[in-house]
Amino acid sequence: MNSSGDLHDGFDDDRDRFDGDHDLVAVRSLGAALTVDPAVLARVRARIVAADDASPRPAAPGSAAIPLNGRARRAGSRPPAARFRRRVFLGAAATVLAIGLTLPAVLPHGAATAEATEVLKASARAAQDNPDPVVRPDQYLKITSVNLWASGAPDTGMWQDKEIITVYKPGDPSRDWVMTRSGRAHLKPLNAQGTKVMQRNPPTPPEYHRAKNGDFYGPRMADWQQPTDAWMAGLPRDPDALYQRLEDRARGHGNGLADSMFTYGVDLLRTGQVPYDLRAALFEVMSRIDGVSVTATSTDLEGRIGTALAITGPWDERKELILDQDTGQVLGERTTSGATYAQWLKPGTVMMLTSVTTEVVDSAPSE
Amino acid sequence: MHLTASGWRHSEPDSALRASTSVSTPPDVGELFDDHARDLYRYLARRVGPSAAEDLLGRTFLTAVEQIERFDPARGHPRAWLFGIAARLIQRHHRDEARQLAAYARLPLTAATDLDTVTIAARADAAAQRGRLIEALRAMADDDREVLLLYAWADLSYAEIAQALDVPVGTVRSRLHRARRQVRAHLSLVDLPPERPSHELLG
Repeated sequence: MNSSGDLHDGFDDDRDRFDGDHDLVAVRSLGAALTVDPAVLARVRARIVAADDASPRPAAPGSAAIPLNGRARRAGSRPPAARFRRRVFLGAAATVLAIGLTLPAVLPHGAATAEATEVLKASARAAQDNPDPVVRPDQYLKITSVNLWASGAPDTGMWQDKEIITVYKPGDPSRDWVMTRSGRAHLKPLNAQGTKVMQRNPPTPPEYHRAKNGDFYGPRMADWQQPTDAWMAGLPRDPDALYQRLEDRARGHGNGLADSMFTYGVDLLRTGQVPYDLRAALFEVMSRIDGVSVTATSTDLEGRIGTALAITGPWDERKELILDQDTGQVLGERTTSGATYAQWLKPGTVMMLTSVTTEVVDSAPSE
Repeated sequence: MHLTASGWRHSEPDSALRASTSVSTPPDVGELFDDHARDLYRYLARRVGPSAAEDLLGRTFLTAVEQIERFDPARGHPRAWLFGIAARLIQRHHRDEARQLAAYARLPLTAATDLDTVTIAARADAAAQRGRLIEALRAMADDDREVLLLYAWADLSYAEIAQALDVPVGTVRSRLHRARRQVRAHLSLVDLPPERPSHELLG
């Protein structure tokens, strides 16, 4: 499909989903004749290098030899490009939604707090005591996630969307899985420019998918982000070994080891498909992640009350996993903005709120 | 399967992007420029036109300098990271993008298309197809268009797009699927009414 095959992860092939790639050929043809004028590149390069040179450097011995880098710069004054910084990072975050909750004071990083450890250990015990419901071969595990998301970027306008995604996972693995998506419905703009940007971005249409093995958009990766049953079955239930697996995956990614481990752990739990014994082990593992704390008793999107465990992300945002420590179930997630997210957004504003519920049902919808 | 489709950073880049993570010294801006400016400029120019692209190319690198300052530079592959910065800058240039899409409709058909279209009728059909493609790109959500074009124009892999846009790979796949479905729907519209002068439409 894509010509630069080496760069691909092996899961890019959508041929089983689409009949040919006429559409991609057409898209690639648009503007394909465009040539790059070397003079333009030279002009821009000169500008960048000049801007870099103009920015003050620490007068340390040998500093002239230091390439443009963070440590050299941090000691100097605000460089010319600083004005771009905030909005670009805000754009990266790309999601906001406003339910205006204020958070308690941020706890310092260290090991997980004693309270968080206690909650996670209790949840681990509860998960162990509550085995998964049996799904007969003619039945389905129905996993419903209700998601409030925000789209756009703070300086171009943001709006709030809602989408309900339902997955029907068959008890008999040889049968088709089914997924329905409500499509992203506009709820409301979140800032002044949001109205215009929201109108420009149509709500997404509903989707219906039917596929073997849950491969709705092509083969799944069998990883923390796209777990398969076989992959989960191969994960250790021993917390020490599982910690190591998570650490190995997370190391070198994201914004620090603790944040990355927490994120991958939540990615897996969010699927609603994690067997109870693996869930128990994972809670135990997460109780050892540095900086995890209990923020508050929290209400998920369905109004269920749980305990929120959180870690602070790179924009001072709080990423929370909401648990029911009495049943060992994951109720949902919440992300709230921090002080550096956007000027017009109060810190503690809820930027993402989801709920996950599972139940056993006798049938899946047809298209 | 991933149940999220949010732009919020739920997760992290793929392992394919681990290559540079052990590098402790941030890359030099000149080196970064020489390695990536050409591809970035080409992508930007296809998106927003050559003159806005020149401006955005400069801003992409100025922003990159700032990101190097604030964050550990070993967060992933610089190529995906730079395209991510460029993509966010493009978001603020919707008018330039709309203008560029309109410009594509006015361009003569490319040589490649000419070879494929031996008759006048076929050529007219190719032009109509192009019009429908442009309409599809115009109509789709910004997030979906970004994924489609990073894939089709910038040749980024799913994993690279995930890193660039800070979304899970599953989100990249679902957005690309949705975008392609829209393009296909537009391209298969063979029964469009013939174009009429605008006064007829007003009547």
